[in-house]
Amino acid sequence: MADRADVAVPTGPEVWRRHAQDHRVEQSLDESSAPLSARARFLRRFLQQRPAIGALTFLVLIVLAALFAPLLAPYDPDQNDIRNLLSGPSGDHWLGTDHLGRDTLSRMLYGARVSLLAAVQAVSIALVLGVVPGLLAGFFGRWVDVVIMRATETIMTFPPLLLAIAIVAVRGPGLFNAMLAVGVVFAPRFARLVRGLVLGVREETFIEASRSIGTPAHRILRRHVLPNILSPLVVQISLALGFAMLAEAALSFLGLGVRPPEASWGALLQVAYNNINRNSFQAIPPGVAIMLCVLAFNLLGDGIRDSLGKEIRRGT
Amino acid sequence: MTALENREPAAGSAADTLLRVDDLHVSFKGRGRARKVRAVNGVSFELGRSETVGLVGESGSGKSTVGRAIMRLIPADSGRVQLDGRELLSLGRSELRAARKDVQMVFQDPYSSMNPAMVVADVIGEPLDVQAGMGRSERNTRVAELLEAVGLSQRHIERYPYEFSGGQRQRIAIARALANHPKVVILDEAVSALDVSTQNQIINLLEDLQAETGVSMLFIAHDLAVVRHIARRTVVIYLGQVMEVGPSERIFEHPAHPYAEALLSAVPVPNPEIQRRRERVVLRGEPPDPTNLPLGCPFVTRCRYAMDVCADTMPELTPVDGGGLVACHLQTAGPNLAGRSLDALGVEAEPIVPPTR
Repeated sequence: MADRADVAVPTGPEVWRRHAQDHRVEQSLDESSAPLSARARFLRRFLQQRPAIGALTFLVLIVLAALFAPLLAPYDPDQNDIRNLLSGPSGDHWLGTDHLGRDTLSRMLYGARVSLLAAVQAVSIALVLGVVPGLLAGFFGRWVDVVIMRATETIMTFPPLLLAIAIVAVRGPGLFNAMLAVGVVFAPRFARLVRGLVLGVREETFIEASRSIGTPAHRILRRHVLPNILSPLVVQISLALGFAMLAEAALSFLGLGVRPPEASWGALLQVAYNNINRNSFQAIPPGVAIMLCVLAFNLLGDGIRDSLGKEIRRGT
Repeated sequence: MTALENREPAAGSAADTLLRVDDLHVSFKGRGRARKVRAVNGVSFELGRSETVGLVGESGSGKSTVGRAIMRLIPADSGRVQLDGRELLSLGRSELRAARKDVQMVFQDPYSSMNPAMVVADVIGEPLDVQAGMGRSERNTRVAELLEAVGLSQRHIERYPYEFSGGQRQRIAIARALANHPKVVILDEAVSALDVSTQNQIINLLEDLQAETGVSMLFIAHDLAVVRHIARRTVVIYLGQVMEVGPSERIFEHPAHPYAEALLSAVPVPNPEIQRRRERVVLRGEPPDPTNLPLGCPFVTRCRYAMDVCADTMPELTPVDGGGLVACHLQTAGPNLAGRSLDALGVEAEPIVPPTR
């Protein structure tokens, strides 16, 4: 072995090929029963989760209904039927009408658009504001961590609704501002969750292995850290969507969200509440819809969590 | 493995030095008022071109820390690490990034050293992406080639790490380390987590790969039998200091340092007859607190030949018969003991620090 240094070192494919014959391992990875890919395994497990499947189906239907609201809605959502004010369910108005004679079913369908969009908006804002600081705080530690964590704690000391109201008060009412407020309220939760997850992943040897070849930090964060914290994050996102929907309803109920005559489920609930003594039925459709959607988001989150088994992180 | 005994230069160095580690010091600061732990305390050795050097010591001896400091994964306090005459420890960010191509590492745990969310193509291809900036198809061709080279199939390119066994994963780690034609591969306990038959396969693979690519290897391990097999020269360290350096054959046949002797007697012999008959040197006592090392030889607290001088004077590295260097007063003072322990000559020395328990 001592004099190998001065032998011309063969390289290139022919060496590798020759070499491969010497070192072929017993193929314990038999090709016939190829193990499922991580994605296939997730799908198979997910399909066994009945509540989650139900929730997903329900949410898909709601999304489709919202998308095709103009086709599905029997009336224009802002059209008044003066002869039928605050009517109950009937052949003409399946879910009755509100105090201005507007068709509740139509307003529910259009409201679904607003409510879903609002929830997505709020969670997206929360993700942008929360995930990046969380990643940085967890990965770099030291003063970066201290600064970011103290900032998030400052935000968390405010009661969420109060903070949202304050933001809306400063920026003026409107759905986007309301959702911005909800996003700001949620951001610290994402930041803290992500930071904690990163702290767990940061010490893994594969991070060190990647650092040892000189991978820049942003690439390590993108390629190694983020994919490995994704599953708890996805669960949190689906839960947050439910909460955001609820928050939108609450803010709209308080008159801080959508502005009339636009409909959202929260706004519908507010109108129904104002007239609850004259027709109590009107509160039921938006109330039930909000409840079912929040429930569906939660069940979906649970289902995703249970389907993302630990074996993705460790060999079985 | 033959005819190298007397070609060994007196300094215990390699003929054609590729990597030179000189007086390396690494310490870890304790939290709060805790004193700093001196993990590596003036380690020097050399690694020749296409050579394998074993770095052995029990756990906590600082052998992995040496590897990590060479890789600049942890900062060194002082010392020099030269690769091909180029100082690595003082390189700036961008120079370091370029230099990392030449030194690669294989880690101990084949499970946690691979991102579970990446397929094999990305695990092996990462150095190619980061260091060589290869295009995707070129990269995948190279990855397939590497997979075949380490005895896996290029069909495995889209598999996830969890689909492989420990030995197979270590093959993937080796393929990754070799991807960019490095000059040195540091194997940090690379076979320790594997069972014996898999260890053998990996060792043979490493030897063949070395013969073919001419890569130098620093083989960090606590298993001496493995080191003896693969390394031409061995460095024995204890509490961050080099106790003995030399040709593996000589160290394993005639260990000059009492610590090396003790380590060797802990290696089981496959033949139960011999295993039962042979004399075992059992280390008593605990290693000293690394935050508060003895003034003299760090091994003094456990050495069965410890003398007064050992407690307050650190012995110099001295040439040994048969090649190599040893840091032991048994070898520096008095007549030449030819690398044999005083015990064999019938001399008993009182341990100055009575064994605990």
